[in-house]
Amino acid sequence: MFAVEVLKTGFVAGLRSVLSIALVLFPLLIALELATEFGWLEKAAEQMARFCQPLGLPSQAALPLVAGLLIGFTYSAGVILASVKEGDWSEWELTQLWIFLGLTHALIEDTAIFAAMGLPVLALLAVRLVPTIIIILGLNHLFVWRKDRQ
Amino acid sequence: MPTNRLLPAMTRGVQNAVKVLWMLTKIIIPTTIIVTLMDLFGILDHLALFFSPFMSWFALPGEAAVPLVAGNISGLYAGVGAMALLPLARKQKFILATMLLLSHSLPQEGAIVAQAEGKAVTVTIIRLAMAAITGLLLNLIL
Repeated sequence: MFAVEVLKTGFVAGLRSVLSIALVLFPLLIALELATEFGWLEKAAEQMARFCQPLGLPSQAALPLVAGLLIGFTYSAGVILASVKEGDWSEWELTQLWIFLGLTHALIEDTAIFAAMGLPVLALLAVRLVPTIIIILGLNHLFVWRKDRQ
Repeated sequence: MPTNRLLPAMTRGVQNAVKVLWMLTKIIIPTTIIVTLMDLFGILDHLALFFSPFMSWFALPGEAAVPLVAGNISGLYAGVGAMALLPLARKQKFILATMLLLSHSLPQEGAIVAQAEGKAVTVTIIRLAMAAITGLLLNLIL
């Protein structure tokens, strides 16, 4: 009987997590379909292009970045793979893009999971974006410095 | 926004959400049950004891190694499932969330990186390192 109680505790705790995630998932995935249908992703990429240069990323990184940041690279792998294969990327640019996206992606979904636990949204975004931008800028300086010395 | 495109798009969104939610249910509920069983058989205590010297760097109890390992190997949702049972203070929850956000689903996401000609090993090492450094710094700051 004790084991049944314990299993029930585990099941209920799991179910509670699933339900709090459901509250976020429905609006998110509906918004995503709308964004794809009405071309909002491309429009957002135009805005993103401005931030690429200061980060040492090529402007062709704008679309993969927007797709990865908003949707995550599991759902948007198609969009990202296409722009990586079609574009003319240097090895360094590709590495920087993937370090960025590896650390920070699926900002809406991933943040929402932990916001559902009552953690502050802005802080959750900051602890991801700040370390990511620091390491991207740091690596970029290192790369420029090494190229200058050659 | 024409309605004839609005409704089908919204329907697809709902269908996707149902699909993803079912996938998550299949991950989260078994994970929480496994962790409950680990707790019942005292495995959690052993793991906790073993990991507590390392986890204390991040102000976390030894048991928190379970969601970290689950999250990194399996996925963010498995991490959340394992986290659901641990009695954590707000600061601890935040640090664990941060570390999981920066580094999770390493095999699956590494495979996608490699497929797109990225350096999966480099990306993985940087993710683990940044998760550890950020966790350590948050422990000192908060």
